[in-house]
Amino acid sequence: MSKSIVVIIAIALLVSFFVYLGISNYFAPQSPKSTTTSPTTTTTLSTPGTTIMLNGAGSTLQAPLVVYWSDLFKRETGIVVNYQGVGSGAGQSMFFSGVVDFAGSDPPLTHSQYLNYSGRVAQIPIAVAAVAVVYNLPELPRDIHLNFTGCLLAKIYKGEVTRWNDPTIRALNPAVADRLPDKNIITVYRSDKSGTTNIYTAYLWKSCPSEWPQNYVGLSMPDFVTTSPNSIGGKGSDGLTSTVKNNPYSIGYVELQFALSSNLQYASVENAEKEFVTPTNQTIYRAVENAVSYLPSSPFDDWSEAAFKLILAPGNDSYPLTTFTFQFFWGKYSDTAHQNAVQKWVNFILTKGQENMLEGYYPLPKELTSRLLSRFGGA
Amino acid sequence: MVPDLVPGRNSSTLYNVLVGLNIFFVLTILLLTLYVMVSKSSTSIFAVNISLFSNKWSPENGEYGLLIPLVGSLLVSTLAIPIVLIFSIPLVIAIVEYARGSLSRILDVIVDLTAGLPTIIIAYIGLAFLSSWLKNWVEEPLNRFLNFIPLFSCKPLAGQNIGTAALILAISTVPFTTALIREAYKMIPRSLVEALYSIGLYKEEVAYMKISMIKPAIVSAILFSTSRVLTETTIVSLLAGNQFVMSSCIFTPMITIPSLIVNNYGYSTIYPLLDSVLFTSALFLYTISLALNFAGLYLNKKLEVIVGG
Repeated sequence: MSKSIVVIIAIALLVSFFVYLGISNYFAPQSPKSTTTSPTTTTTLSTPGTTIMLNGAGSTLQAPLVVYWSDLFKRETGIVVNYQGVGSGAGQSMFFSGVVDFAGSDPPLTHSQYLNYSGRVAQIPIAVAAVAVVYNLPELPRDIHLNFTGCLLAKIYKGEVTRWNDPTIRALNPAVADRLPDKNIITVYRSDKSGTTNIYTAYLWKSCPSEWPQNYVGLSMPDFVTTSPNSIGGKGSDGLTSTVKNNPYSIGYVELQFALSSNLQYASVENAEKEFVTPTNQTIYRAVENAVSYLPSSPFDDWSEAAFKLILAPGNDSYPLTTFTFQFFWGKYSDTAHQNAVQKWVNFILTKGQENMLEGYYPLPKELTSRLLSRFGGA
Repeated sequence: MVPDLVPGRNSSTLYNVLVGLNIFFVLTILLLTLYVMVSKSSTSIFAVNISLFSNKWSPENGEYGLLIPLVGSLLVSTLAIPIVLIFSIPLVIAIVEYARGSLSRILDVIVDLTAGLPTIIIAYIGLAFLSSWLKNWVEEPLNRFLNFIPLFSCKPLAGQNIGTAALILAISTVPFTTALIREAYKMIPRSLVEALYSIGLYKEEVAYMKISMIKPAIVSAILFSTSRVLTETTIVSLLAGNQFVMSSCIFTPMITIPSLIVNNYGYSTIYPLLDSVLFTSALFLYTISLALNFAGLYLNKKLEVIVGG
């Protein structure tokens, strides 16, 4: 290596060192960011030229809907909404660290998160979605929906019911009992942390606490599922869907739109009134309608229990695996233009957005949208 | 006017600046990567209340054992590399020794193109078609007839297991390894090859001798390929089954380090040590991969000495 190259590397190192010193001094007086006491506003809203741009990230479940809405919203207001489906957890992290202006999240803020951000973060449910229990039984046509109770599903995931022709499954499905094959049940679950797993495990707990205690409820499956050689983990909703689709005699759970779009067989699930209900527009809407009076009245309230209120909602025709998908916004943004853009976006979601849903997503009840609009969408 | 083609003092300075800056950037990227990984992972490495080498993984309960994914990563590589070699060495001989004219050129281009194919394509083909085919026609017969061998002792539950992942990984790596070995094979001086023929050896004997001459290059290709297989993410995430199970049977679903990272990073801020533990697992892979690449480069140098005389 020639001497001059060594000199150039040395100069570059020195310059970098001083630049680093300068940057550290510049930022030193500011208090460090903390996730427990986050700043009240985010400053990432960008305004290239005259176009206002809102950046969002999070739930992959709501991504197709948000992309569809953002197109309609841009045509109406000229405001561009960018959304990246990176997963609810990553979306929350990006939102609280100020990388994006709003987060898409399937679970609401946990109670402890709510206490940290109380009064500063608005949680807006944007649509209703449902989780379907899907299976792959080549012996049965797609228009037959097998009946499952929460206790039976819990026993299947615990490895206590292992064969498709088990007497418990046959007893619940007398019309097709003779067609149930003598095959091992392959249980499929989400290997990544997922709001869908949270809803599914919460349903198992609420409907059958003796088989599935509350400490099994969470964003991931309990140990006995993740360490079982009879289970397979699929990453993401698409991974789980492909795994069930490609493995005959498997069972899993996935958002309804994935079950519909991939033509998977899906089950009728026992609800709070001991009725077996398949997920349809009617049964999903009835679940929300029957639970709406138990929900918080403001987006600034604690919604951590709201997801559980929808699961196993009362009513003969309520589908029990129903959930909201949320977006989180700051209560106050750093400048008026962006504050107005957010208000317009929320207004759009709760009015025109509810009239323009994609397959697999369902609108919120009017009572709920008007409650939310009166507290947050006032612009 | 004819331009001055001889580099003068100015162009020489510019050359030195560009070379110097490039070296600086490469060094900086390497050091920064190491710095970020070490500083991020140190929290979990020095945490007293967790055991990184246990076989329990449950961030909800503060358990962050990396043993099973680590074993999964090593197992999938150990299974894949012999399969890669079984296919790539005969492929090199076929392309260089037996294929003639345009067929040889077409095979060369196919190997080069497929070596750079995105793994997601192979992963999806593997998931949609090969996994169930392998289960029905390869794995179940192996279990039925050879179940006294521990590797095949369990009945495959589904197409997603460590054996399927290893085989699909091997398929995706064959062109890469073939390209590496082919280059070394072609470097053998013509005079040496002619000398081999002149003593009356047949073509297959010459091929065998040539393969013996490039042993260091084959070992270095194995090391580079192992590093690639070890760090591959998409194929194992979709095909290994993602289960925290340790078994000597290759038809068991298992998880590897890259799968673990991909499955957990989205929620790494929710659990106190998860972010740091994922960086530690990445550091393990980074260290193993760097060591393999370093050894591969060393052996390549050795080959240059042999071939260059």
